[in-house]
Parts: sequence; structure tokens; C-alpha cells
Amino acid sequence: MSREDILSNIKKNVPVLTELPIITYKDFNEVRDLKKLFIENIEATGGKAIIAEDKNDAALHIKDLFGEPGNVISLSEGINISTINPTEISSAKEFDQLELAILDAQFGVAENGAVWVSEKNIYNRVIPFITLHLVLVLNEEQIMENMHDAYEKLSSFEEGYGVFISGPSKTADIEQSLVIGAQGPLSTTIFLINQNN
Amino acid sequence: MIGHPQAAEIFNEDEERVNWHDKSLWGVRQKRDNVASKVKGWEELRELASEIKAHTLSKLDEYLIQFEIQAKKNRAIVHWATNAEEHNKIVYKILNEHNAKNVVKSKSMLTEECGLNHYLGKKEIDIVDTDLGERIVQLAKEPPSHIVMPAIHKKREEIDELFHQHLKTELSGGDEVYLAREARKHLRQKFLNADAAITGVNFAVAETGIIVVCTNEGNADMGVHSTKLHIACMGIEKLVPKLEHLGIFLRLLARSATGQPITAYTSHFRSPKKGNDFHIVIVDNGRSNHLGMPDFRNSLRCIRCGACMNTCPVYRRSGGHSYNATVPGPIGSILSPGFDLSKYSSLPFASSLCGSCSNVCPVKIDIHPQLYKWRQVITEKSHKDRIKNIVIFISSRIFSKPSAFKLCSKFGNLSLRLLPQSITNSLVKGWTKHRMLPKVPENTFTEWYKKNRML
Repeated sequence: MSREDILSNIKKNVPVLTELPIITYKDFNEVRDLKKLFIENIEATGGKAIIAEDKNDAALHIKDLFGEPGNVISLSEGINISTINPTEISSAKEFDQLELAILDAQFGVAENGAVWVSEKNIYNRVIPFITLHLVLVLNEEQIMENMHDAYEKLSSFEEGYGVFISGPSKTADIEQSLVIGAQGPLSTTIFLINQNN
Repeated sequence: MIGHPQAAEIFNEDEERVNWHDKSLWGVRQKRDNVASKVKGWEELRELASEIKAHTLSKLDEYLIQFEIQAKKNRAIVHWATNAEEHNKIVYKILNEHNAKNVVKSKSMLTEECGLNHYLGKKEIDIVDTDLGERIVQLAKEPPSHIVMPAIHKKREEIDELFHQHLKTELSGGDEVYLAREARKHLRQKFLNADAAITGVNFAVAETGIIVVCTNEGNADMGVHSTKLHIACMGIEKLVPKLEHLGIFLRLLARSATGQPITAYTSHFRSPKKGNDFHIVIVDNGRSNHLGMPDFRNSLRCIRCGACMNTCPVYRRSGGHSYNATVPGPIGSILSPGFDLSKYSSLPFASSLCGSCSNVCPVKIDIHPQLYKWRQVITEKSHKDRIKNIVIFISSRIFSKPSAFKLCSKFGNLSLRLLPQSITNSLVKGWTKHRMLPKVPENTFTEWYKKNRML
């Protein structure tokens, strides 16, 4: 059995046990304006960050940015502009004409401009990737400083799938020239909303 | 198979290309420096990453078992492959059981190492690499020349021509936006018509059975979420003990690789969608033996960022293909000899031992000391290089006798000054190919010292 062969050969060859280091994650924190840093990093990834007063305001911005797109799925409560009901669709092929997806993100990470979305935010895992344009809505109070803080928040993560999204899909595989829009969305916009409004 | 020096010589025939290649990679190294310097505690992060990996390797068997238990709980099906052949057979068997003929694959150096594309190709399976760089080299029927930027050696005009030929695009003079959009259309059709997706694995978390895959293009996710079958292939060394450790490695990985603070997508796969299948193939292929080599086991800490390649003066000027190994550059030069010493015996010599690789390595692998140790192993095993042996023999005699040394340095100094350059250059042929010998001083050092020491 390969499993036993591999495991017994590893057991035979492992070095003397070394302990896991003791890690003090708070040593990596600094006093910083997280919202500002977050926005700067989103822009550095080729994404767009927009501060909106509330979801109605966000909806107006979306109209300005995208006009009247043909196929829209919004899973963000309060931005009710869906033209497609995702529950009626089962295969990726049927999502291929999706022009705009609007989803809630759970939290953002200031140090790299990423936001976390998981299964419960996206309904179908293919949506954030297959859509032409992606909009993510985030409560501005949910900005973590760095990835250590992010994983602390994810310590009870139990879902089947989750992803950090940082800006739109991109490639630099042709002579290191950056092209925004590779196999996923051509644009990613993050709305920062003050939930208290 | 030709060795690195001969292959590098071929690459160096086109000086302009060498300079261009050198410059592109140095640009990536500079981006890395720029973002790394903005992180508070960067050096501490490297140290922690190194220690976590060392710990993981020291109880790798236990962590693999823990990972397997967790993955099974998550409804993943776990397979074990001793070598490349078994890996390929397992993947084929899974595909065959699902009657999958069209397969999309995101970047995985492991499947390159195992020759999976070639194997599946013979079984009439259409396997498409979906990372743009990998698609480019796949169309060109070449292996990747870099682990993060597979087509870094290709010029835009060549890609233009390649796409024109295979994807029927217009010749655009190498317009990157046009070419990337055409690739997008082409790959989108492949995703939508695929029966299965294969991905690599950046990290596997023992505690939770989660695998993490990082891409910028979104191609891994497009593949996995468009199909009903996901096969993830991972080497045994991809494990980290806990979910929280990902924070450390993800802060280091993209910054070291491309100078980005994080990749566009960092996907965490725990369970398949309802009705879908998720298989994980754990591959040894020489790694557990490598773990048993005390001088060289640290190289298994590698997280495949490619920073050592971008910084290496030899890699930048000889190109990835000259290493003839799945993983080129400094890290490849210490990994490959562990798997096949005779095949890769020239690689540890493809270095100036400047140590830049060790300095940028995010998990602090002692790359250049290992290169040096491999040289000793190889030199001991082979005495093929007769001229080198004669030179070393004569030198040891000269250096161990002061009188002989004095005589020879005087003679050497005189001949270097008096003989015509064509003769002196030919004495150190390789060295003078791209540079002149330095001006020879009028006195030997001993003469100079005798004259000046009283002052």
C-alpha cells in the first residue's frame, strides 16, 4: 500500500522533533488608519473603492458605474436590482452571460485590500468568478489590519468554501505587462458602507 | 542530456534576449523589496515561517494522517501516490470513472514534475492549462521556464505568433491587452465545456483538512466551480499545522513572488458543492527520501515563490530552461539532485554562491550553503573532470610550499605582464569571454609587502 509505504518512510526519515514557535501576533500590529490603508491597497490591486452612505447610495453609484446592465444578480440585501434568480440556474454555462454580481463581503484586510467572502455570501461558487463585473459590499467597521487578524476571525470557519478577493482578476504573463481582467471579472468594486447610517 | 553550462551557452547566443530576461526578473525582485520593506516585522515573519515548516517536517507523518482524517470528514476522497507514475494513474482512474474527457488545469508544478499532461494526452484526454503563462508554453510545446511566471522567457511577438497559429487571432504586434482578451475567450469556452478541473495546492491545513490555492487570474476557481469534479494534487511537504499559520505564509508568499501584498484570489476549499466530487492526491515522488538527508532536507520547506530565481544572477542570465528541471534556479538546483543525482549533477555548479537566494527566501532555506554541499557530494562521487583534478592537485602542491608559491607567483606575474593578451586570455578561457583580465601590478604582493612594511 502506497499510503503505508510513504508514511513509514517519512517516519524513518523525519528529523529530531522541533517545537512550534510561540507566536505573538499582536507584535505585527501598528497604529494605522485602516480605512485609508485598505482603500489605497484596493486601488493598488486595480480595484475600485467607493465610500457610500448606505445601500441606497451604493445602488445609485452602481447605476452610475454600470448603467443598465442586462444580467444582474444581487445577493446584497437592500440592493434589489437582480434580473436573474440564481436559484433557477444550475450550471456554469447559464451564468456565462452574467454582467454584474453584487455580493456582501464579511470583512476586509487593510494590509492587502482583500475581502473575505464565503459560501453563504455567494450562493453559487462560480458567481464571483464568472461575472463580468463584481461588486462587493462591506461594512466599513469590518476592516482588519492584517492577515493574522483575518485568520483569528476565521478561526471558527466551518463552511465548504471561502475566498479572499483582492481586486479584479489579472495577469502579467505577457512580458510582465499588467492586464486587468484575466479569467475572472474585468473589474472589482468595493463599497464601504457605514452600517449605522 | 546536456548540462547547465552547455544549455546556458545556447541561451547566451542572443545577448539582447539575455539582457531583456535579466532586466524583467530583476524588476520583479525590486518589486519584492519594495513591498517587503513596508511590512512591520518582515524578518520575524520569515523566521516564524521557517520554524513552522521545520516543525511540520519533524512530524510530517502525523500531520499527514491528521490532514487525511479531516479531509475525509469534509467529504474529500484522499489518495496516496508513491511516485509520478502512480500519481498519473490515480488521476486518470478518477477521470475515467467520471467519464471526463475535457479537463482544465490550473498551475501545478507537481503535475509538471509527474508529466501528467503527456500521460493524459496519450489516453485521449484533452487537458488544457488555464493559467495564461502556462497556456502559452503549452501551445509552444515547452515546459515552464519559471515556477511563478511560466512564460517569462517569451517575447510578446512570439506569443502573438503562437496565438495567431493556434487560436487564429490577428497579428497584433504583441498587444498584451488584445492577446489576454483573446486568451480569456478561448479559455472561457474550455472552462464551460470541461468535465473536470485539476488544481495544485499552495497550502494544506492539517487541523482542518482545507487546501488553499492562490491565483491572480481566477483560473483555478473558474475551473473548479464550472465542473463537477475537482482533483487537487499536492506534494507531502505542502502541509501547515493550523489555519492561523496561513496568515504568516500568505503574507510572505505573494510579496516574495511578484511583489504583490496578496494574490487576487486565495481560495479555501474544504468540501465539494453538493453533488460534486473532490479528490486529493498526496504525492511523495522522492520527497520522503529527501527528508532523510540531513544536509538537504531543509529544501522541503520551500513554498514555491520563485524569489530565489528572480534574484539569482545565474538564473537571470541563463534562463529557466537551461536547468532542464521542473523547478529551475537556486531552489531547483538543491532539490533536483536529491531526486536524481547523476541527471542533475551540473545544477549545484550553476551559481556564484553569492547568497542572494538565501537572503530573499521567505522560509529561510540555507540555499547557497546547500549548493556548496551538493558540490562536495558530486565532486566526491565523480572524478570525470580530469583537467580540474590535475589543476587542483598541482595547486595544492604549490600552495603548501612557500618556496614553490613564491617562484610561481613571480613567474605568473611576469608572464601575465609580458605575454600577448591572446595567450593570457586563453589560459582562463571561460572567464575572459565577456571581460578583460585585470591590469597586472608590477610587483607580486610579497615584493610589495617587503618594500612597504617598514613604512
